[in-house]
Amino acid sequence: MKEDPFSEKLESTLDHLRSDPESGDLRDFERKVWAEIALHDERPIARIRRWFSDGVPVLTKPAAIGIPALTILLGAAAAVAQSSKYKEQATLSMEQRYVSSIHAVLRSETYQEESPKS
Amino acid sequence: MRSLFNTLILSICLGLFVFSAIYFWQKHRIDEHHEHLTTFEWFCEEFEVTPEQRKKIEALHTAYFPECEDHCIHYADTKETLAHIIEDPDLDQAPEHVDAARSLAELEKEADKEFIDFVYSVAAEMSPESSERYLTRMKGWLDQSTKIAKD
Repeated sequence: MKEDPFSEKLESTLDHLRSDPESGDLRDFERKVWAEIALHDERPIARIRRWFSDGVPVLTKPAAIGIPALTILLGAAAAVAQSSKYKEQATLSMEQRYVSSIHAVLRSETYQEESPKS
Repeated sequence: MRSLFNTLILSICLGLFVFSAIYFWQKHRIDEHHEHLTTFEWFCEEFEVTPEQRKKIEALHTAYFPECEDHCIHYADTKETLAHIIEDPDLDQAPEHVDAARSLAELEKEADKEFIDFVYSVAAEMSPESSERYLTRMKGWLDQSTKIAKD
């Protein structure tokens, strides 16, 4: 049976496409297009959640243990430094009270600060 | 294996928790310690006064307090009088104004002199290291009192 010219042309084009090395890229392209469409259809919250679970890099076990350990140390060091500063302030306040009790001018200033203004 | 995001959140929470726990525990300890301390007890603790030195220094403080109190009242009264005179435009440069200003300046000088004499008498009873530290710190307050008096 003799084929019509259209069928012949279609057959030759298909053969050409199959033999073309770029046809693989075409399938990849198609897959990417569908992935984009799927991503577009995804809800925003689900998309953000997926970004965190897939997009953020994962850490190795030593790094996952080391980072919290480092922040614990930093937190402790900052607390010690801050409380030392607080102690200095408390000492200064006590010193001021002591000096106010032995210097007439400073004592008078303390009285004026403490007494309610008329 | 953990995600970076989860690890960072957990680390920040842990760091904040450790900071708060240590800081507030220390703050509470400092506050509680200072709350039950008189100024004289603080002085003895700060300048490492021994029990023997403490007796002599306490006697010096006890003898000095009434004198300082009288001086303080006299100074406050004179300052108030001067403030009233300054408020009254009729008394500007009047003899009362000049007298009150001169009297206040004399009282300030006298207060400084009494303070210096007192701290030196206290320092004489202390150990050399503590005495030096005490005098250095008291000198700082003397400069401040001069500044306050000028203001």
